[in-house]
Amino acid sequence: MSSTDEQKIILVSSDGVNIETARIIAERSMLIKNMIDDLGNPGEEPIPIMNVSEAVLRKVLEWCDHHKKDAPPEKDEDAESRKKTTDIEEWDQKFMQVDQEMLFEIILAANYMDIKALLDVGCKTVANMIKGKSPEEIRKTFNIQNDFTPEEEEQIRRENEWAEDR
Amino acid sequence: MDSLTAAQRVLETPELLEMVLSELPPTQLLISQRVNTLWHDLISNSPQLQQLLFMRPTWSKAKPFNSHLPCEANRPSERPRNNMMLRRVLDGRYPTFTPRVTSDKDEEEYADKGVEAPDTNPDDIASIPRSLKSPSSYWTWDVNVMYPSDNLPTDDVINHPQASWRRMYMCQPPCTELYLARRWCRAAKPAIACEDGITMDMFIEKANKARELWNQLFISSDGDWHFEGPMRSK
Repeated sequence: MSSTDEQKIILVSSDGVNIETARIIAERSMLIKNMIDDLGNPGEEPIPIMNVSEAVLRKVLEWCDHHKKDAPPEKDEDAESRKKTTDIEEWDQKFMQVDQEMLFEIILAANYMDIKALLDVGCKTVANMIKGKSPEEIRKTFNIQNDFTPEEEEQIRRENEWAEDR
Repeated sequence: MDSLTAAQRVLETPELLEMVLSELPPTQLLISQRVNTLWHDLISNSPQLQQLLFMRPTWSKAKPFNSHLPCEANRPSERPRNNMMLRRVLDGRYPTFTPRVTSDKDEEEYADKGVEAPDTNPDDIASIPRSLKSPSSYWTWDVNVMYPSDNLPTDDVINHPQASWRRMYMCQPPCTELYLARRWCRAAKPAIACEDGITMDMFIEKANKARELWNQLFISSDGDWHFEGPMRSK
């Protein structure tokens, strides 16, 4: 029997592809960790990851592999301690240089698979895309519909005009 | 397959959108309210985002002052956050902080007996009242802020009656009392007080009528009113 570190497990993506990975890598995901704890006998049964396609799952596992040695996440990490790290480390910045659809797919997968640190990096990356943009530019970047009446929009604009860089 | 893009699924899920928005600087957060109704409703209702915007108070716990501990251990609690956005409103001035040791209990005791708190001389340990040495003293922070006594801001954009800065606090945790001060002398009574925290609306309303309300001796040589006051912990 191999040690926990080298144990292999098989994940099944939403499009039915089997991906073999090390247990230590996959357990960066609290979803997978809990499933393994519940199922027992890791490695015997493939673990289905219902909402994540092969391409995204491989990308997520690439992140987990790089971060497998990181300290495990705190159980009740509050919003305050999360806030303290405002910068994204260099490797993560490069990792997040993907097209917009993949970036948001990674965020959805990190949320579903319960990988807090990856979700954090994803949200910060999107926040960096928003910084310095006007509401019009934000809508255009993310293809968001403006559903205000002109009067509503004008009122909100006037209330916050003082905060704009004039 | 899902007809929604991943971007739409993320940005239309309030929990995920809130996580993204909580990483933005506060001015960007204000401006981004105009993106659509979901962004607007989330930014104006989320407790976390409202706290980032200084529109909802974050009261912190008071940290006991213990003079027996070495300097490194006997420190004030985490530095409050000052609302740097107000530089735009106060013509470059912004709230700053000073750490302070206070003891509510002592004040109450002396008040009950109808005597003034004795003067303390920091060089003479024996002159410090006993109770000040006990942990009934707490670290607190004072906020310091200036406002012009004349040449009041005239910018129409800033003075807009519904401008969102009016709903903001100067700092987090908010200050509950502001005293006029000049040359380290503090007025006996607060110029402005509010248990739930003084908003900029309350501050500006009084500060704009300052010459009628307050003793002009408090105007400093640079023509400003100087205010200071405690950020009480709850």
